[in-house]
Amino acid sequence: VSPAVAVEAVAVRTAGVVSRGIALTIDLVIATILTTLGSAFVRLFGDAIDFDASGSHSIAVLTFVLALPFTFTLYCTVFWALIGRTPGMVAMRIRVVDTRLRRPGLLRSLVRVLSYGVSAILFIGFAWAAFDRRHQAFHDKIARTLVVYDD
Amino acid sequence: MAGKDRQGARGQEVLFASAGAIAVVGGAAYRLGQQALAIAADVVERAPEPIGATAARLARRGHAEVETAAAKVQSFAEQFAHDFARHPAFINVVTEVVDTVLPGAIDTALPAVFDRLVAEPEGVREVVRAQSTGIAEEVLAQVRSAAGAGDAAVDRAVGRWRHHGDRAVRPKGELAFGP
Repeated sequence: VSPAVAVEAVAVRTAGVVSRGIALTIDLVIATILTTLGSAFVRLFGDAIDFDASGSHSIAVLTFVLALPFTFTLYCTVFWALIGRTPGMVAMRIRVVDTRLRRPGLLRSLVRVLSYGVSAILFIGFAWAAFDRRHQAFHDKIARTLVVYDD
Repeated sequence: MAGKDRQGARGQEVLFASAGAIAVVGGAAYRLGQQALAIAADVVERAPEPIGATAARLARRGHAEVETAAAKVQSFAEQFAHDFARHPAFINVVTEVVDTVLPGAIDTALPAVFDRLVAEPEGVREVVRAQSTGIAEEVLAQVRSAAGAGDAAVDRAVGRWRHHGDRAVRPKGELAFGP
């Protein structure tokens, strides 16, 4: 940086694993509730069109299990891309930014939430945030994002 | 002539003797009066003490009598209220009021209250919203505070574990970014 150009450094504090964990838990609860409501709606819709769902309890469970990750992916992607934070993050006053401290775009948000799958392997990727200098979990490393406090 | 002189001398002696007697009696009377006055003063001086003690005793007795009377009045009032509240006549009156007047009053008042709430729901909503928001905000603030403390504790633990010299220069989690 040229001395003639004043560069104002912006100090940010990256969020720790506890705040991030609580935010993630809140988001998972919300996503589960949304999935449940969605399943109930689909079931009511099926009844309305006389779709015979008798004897398909296992299929319903399987659908719910598959629907939950989908709902969570959609939920996180939309919220991160639109406002940079999910409701759980709003509650904990943290947000997702890219390495330039900007709100992540749609693609980066999608990559980040899909990378949760990598971090979820034995939870090593999530736990890595506790040891990383920038508190970056594996999915943050992959998507090149940070989680910072809303100071 | 000599008899007259003798009579005159005796008269003088009698006079002087009488004057001396009067002087002695007067002196004695004066001393007696002085002593009587001193005794009277002493009596007067000591008189208020027994009077004050008597007055204090009377005051204590009066106070005790007042307290006793107040306790009796209170006891009587409580007993009266107790008996009155359980008197069949009073219960009948209350029952009559509850059975006849209250339903009419409720029928009259409740619709008015509901109409008011329907006409101005924003006030009620605002109260409920403010109350709910306040409670939620308070809980969230406590959660955030605890989470922040947890973050710091984890960072300290990891920092001690790693003994990373770089952390002393810049605390973990605090990064500087250019625009």
